[in-house]
Amino acid sequence: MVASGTYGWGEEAALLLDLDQLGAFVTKTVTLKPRLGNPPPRIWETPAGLLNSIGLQNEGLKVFLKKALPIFERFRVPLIVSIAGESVEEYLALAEALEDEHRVNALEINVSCPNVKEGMLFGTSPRLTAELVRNLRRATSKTLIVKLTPNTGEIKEVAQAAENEGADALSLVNTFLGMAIDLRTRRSRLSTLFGGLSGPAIKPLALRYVFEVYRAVKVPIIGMGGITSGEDALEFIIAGASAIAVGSASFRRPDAPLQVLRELTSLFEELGVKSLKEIKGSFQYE
Amino acid sequence: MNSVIQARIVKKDNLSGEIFHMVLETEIPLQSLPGQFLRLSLPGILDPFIPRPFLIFREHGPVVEIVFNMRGKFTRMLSQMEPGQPLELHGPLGKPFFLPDAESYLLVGGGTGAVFFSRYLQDLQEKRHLFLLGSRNSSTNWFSLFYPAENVLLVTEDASAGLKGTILDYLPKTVRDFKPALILASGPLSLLKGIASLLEDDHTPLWIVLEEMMGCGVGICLSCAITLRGEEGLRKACLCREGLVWKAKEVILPEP
Ligand SMILES: Cc1cc2nc3c(=O)[nH]c(=O)nc-3n(C[C@H](O)[C@H](O)[C@H](O)COP(=O)(O)OP(=O)(O)OC[C@H]3O[C@@H](n4cnc5c(N)ncnc54)[C@H](O)[C@@H]3O)c2cc1C
Ligand SMILES: Cc1cc2nc3c(=O)[nH]c(=O)nc-3n(C[C@H](O)[C@H](O)[C@H](O)COP(=O)(O)O)c2cc1C
Ligand code: FES
Repeated sequence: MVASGTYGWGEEAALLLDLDQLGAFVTKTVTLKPRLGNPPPRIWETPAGLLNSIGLQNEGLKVFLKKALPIFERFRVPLIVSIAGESVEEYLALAEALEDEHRVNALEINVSCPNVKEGMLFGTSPRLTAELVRNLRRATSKTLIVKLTPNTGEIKEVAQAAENEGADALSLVNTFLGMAIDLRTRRSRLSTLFGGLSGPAIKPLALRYVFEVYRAVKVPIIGMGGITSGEDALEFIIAGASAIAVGSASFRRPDAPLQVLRELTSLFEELGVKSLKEIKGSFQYE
Repeated sequence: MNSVIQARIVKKDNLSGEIFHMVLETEIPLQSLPGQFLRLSLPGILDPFIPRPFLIFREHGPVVEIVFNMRGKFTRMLSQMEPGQPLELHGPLGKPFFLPDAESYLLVGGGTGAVFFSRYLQDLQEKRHLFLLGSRNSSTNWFSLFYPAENVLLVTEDASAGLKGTILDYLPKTVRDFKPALILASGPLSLLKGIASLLEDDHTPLWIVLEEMMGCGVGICLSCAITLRGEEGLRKACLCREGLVWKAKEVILPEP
């Protein structure tokens, strides 16, 4: 799979990849209203990683339905639409609008978004996540995936809250909050104070979260965070992921998701692994 | 542009100061068009992670040339590499740009921004044209090696080569005397902003070559979004896909 926000909404992707070779395509997050995003600079490279503060730039639900969605009529790839809102009502409006779209197979709920009323991110609180997922579960018959943020001390509790309220799967992790300082100006390297860290630098952290959440829930996990090779992907699978997503690695080369898949397939052969099921969660630790 | 091309360094020259000229041989021809750019990375190395964008100085067959300024982590490593060493090349990227037809051209370039003009030298031969090129000092001035002296007005801040001062000091007079039908400017954002504001009331069409931090080069990360004045209000566009060249009046330049 591709990770949300690292492959656009489909238009560019269709030019760069044979989408049908992917396990699923996940769109960049769509919001109800258009958002212009943050001013530049929006990225800064750190050792083996990338800080970003794109600011959820997107043209809003209406344009997404009209412009991006029809692209997928030409492909069979399962389509997962990532959505975010500033209130439960906004998430519900998005889910309802997508409910009758036959091309949409699943919703990925980006909970790394501030709940404006409560002044904190949905995904940092088990209570807010539970309330959101409960409402969404009633509103949609689509597969419901909750994308967890690592920027909370309670990721296991948030994962369990999502599972208890009917989430079909979890994806993790989103980016880690970080910062970088320009020594000369003593200001942030980004136009915002903080950015989200992704790339190889976060791989060990992401892997740990996948393992911990795997032990705490029964629903399948989509693992991601710094994956650039088949070997990286297999580590996530052994830690408990049922699927994996490639994010920032696509910025190095657009065919990275397919390259990781090819490498993973030959790694399975090399190790005599016949199916993903056989090796998933097989981490030995007792 | 959906994958990377393997390349090998053929030649590396320190032109002056921190400016380098590098010749690469690619496994398959890049086949870029004027106005396009490429990205370079070190094969198999995850730090630096994101490939760095460079203008294509010249291309012929499987040979690509760049001119770069040593600025930070990646360009320092690049400056220390030797012929024979491998690089990964991503491109060609960006929208091709062909010089709009005009009677005469003024090409304003600051630092390595002037690389952009090299792909138009042939087109320019048949037209009245003038380069106004500037750099901090003679050690950052590499233009004289590649651009024909008779058409170049050179300025350096320390007067070590050409006239003393900055491009902005000489721009109004140059525009008045030379009366170009079109101006194309390439260089740091602060220079482009300065040019745009000096020429605010001038009616000569002004085109600018923009650079921005780029994550992917192909329109999927949105890090290079710039703000355009559209018919229906402000609109975002990816510099890497719809650029690099814009009419100055259509973009809202960010704060440097
Ligand atoms: C389309 C385009 C064409 C360019 N062409 C040339 C060229 O022909 N010759 C040349 O010398 N330079 C060119 N640059 C600038 C060049 O890409 C940067 O100097 C280089 O990325 C610096 O990397 P670094 O690791 O050495 O420096 P760093 O320490 O990473 O950063 C130094 C400065 O370089 C710039 N920079 C860093 N990363 C990026 C990035 N991913 N994208 C864009 N800018 C970045 C930033 O302004 C930063 O402040 C171009 C940039 C763009 C966007
Ligand atoms: C530039 C950029 C934009 C992103 N945008 C989104 C987004 O819109 N929604 C979302 O859920 N995650 C977004 N992410 C997070 C990724 O989907 C992924 O969770 C994270 O980058 C870790 O994976 P990686 O290390 O492979 O990139 C973004 C990441 C990057 C680098
Ligand atoms: S650099 Fe990624 S969208 Fe332009």
